[in-house]
Amino acid sequence: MIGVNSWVHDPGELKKVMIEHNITWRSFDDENIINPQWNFPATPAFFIIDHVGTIRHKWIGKPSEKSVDTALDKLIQEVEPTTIKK
Amino acid sequence: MRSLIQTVSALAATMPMLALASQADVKTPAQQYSAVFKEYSSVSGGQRGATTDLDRKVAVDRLAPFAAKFVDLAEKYPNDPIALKALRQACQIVGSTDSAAINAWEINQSNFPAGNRDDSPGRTVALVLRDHVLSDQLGPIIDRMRYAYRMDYEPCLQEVLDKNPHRDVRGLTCMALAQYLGDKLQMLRLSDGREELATCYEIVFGKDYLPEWRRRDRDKLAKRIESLFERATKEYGDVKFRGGTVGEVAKRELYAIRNLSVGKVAPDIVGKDQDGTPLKLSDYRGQVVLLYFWSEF
Repeated sequence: MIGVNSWVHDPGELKKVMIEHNITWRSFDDENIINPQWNFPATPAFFIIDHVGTIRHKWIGKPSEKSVDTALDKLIQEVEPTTIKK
Repeated sequence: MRSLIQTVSALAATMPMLALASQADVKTPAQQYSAVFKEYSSVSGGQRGATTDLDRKVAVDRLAPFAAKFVDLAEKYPNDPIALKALRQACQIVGSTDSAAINAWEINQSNFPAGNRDDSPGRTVALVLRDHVLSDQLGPIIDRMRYAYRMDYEPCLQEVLDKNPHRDVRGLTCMALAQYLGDKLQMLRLSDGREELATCYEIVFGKDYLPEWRRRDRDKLAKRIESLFERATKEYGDVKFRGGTVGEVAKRELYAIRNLSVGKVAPDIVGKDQDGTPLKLSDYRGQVVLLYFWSEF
């Protein structure tokens, strides 16, 4: 999982917020993004991107954990035989 | 018994005031609007300060009846400038009570407050279409329909878009309809597998609300949204919109529809992570990625 934070705007601040909230995934700091083509959707927003870079699922808002898990599991199973990296 | 006596005496005390009110029918529409507005102001916003479910319910129960009061005024004085102002307030009130109900649900799965089930949205729409569809002053009310939930607003926005002679009103309406439908499409996608959300919509808007949206063809809905944004860029591109223009916002929306949708190749993201280490989305090619846009709340 990769995050994109779109709220914290002070340099160095993001790390602090992430420690505070026990967030362990790597996260872009949106101020540091060079190419903002994603338009920064309203948060929360979730995208599932497959091994070739195609968007396979998209939710603006909070989907059920089950929907996300099922979608991820299905994709990982589909992709695994063709990739070396996991 | 004691409380009964109090109630009776309280009623008796209001009688002379009622008689006075009927004598004072000479009040102008503007004065009547001000009177309702003053009363409304004293209770509006109460739901935002509420911290418990009961507080929220009380605040919403106080606020909700004002929608009908404003609609009554608009119905009574269709040709007075207060009519549209009153309809706008009604829309705003329904929006606030709906949001409060949904928030209460989202915060703690509570069905307090249960939302406002009177027919104000239907009456509002009927009056807008009957008395004001050609007005150049529709912008503010259209703005309040944009992010609203009520189903009555979709045909209303469509009819204003079809009939209103003012280009700026049509431009705003075109955007509002596209955004209204876009929200509903997102709502449908989110509600998949989230039956608790279905319960929330049932409590707030009635049992037919979500099933009715679910009967809509999602692909057709998506195409309609795209064509509305296209139309907005082509026909109303220069119309002023939220500090910018319709064209700028519609183009961003179209970009997202065309490039950030399921089936499209994700644009790369190049930047730095929380440690300042360079990070690219494409570093993860070959793997399945869950990309999460988040903020602190």
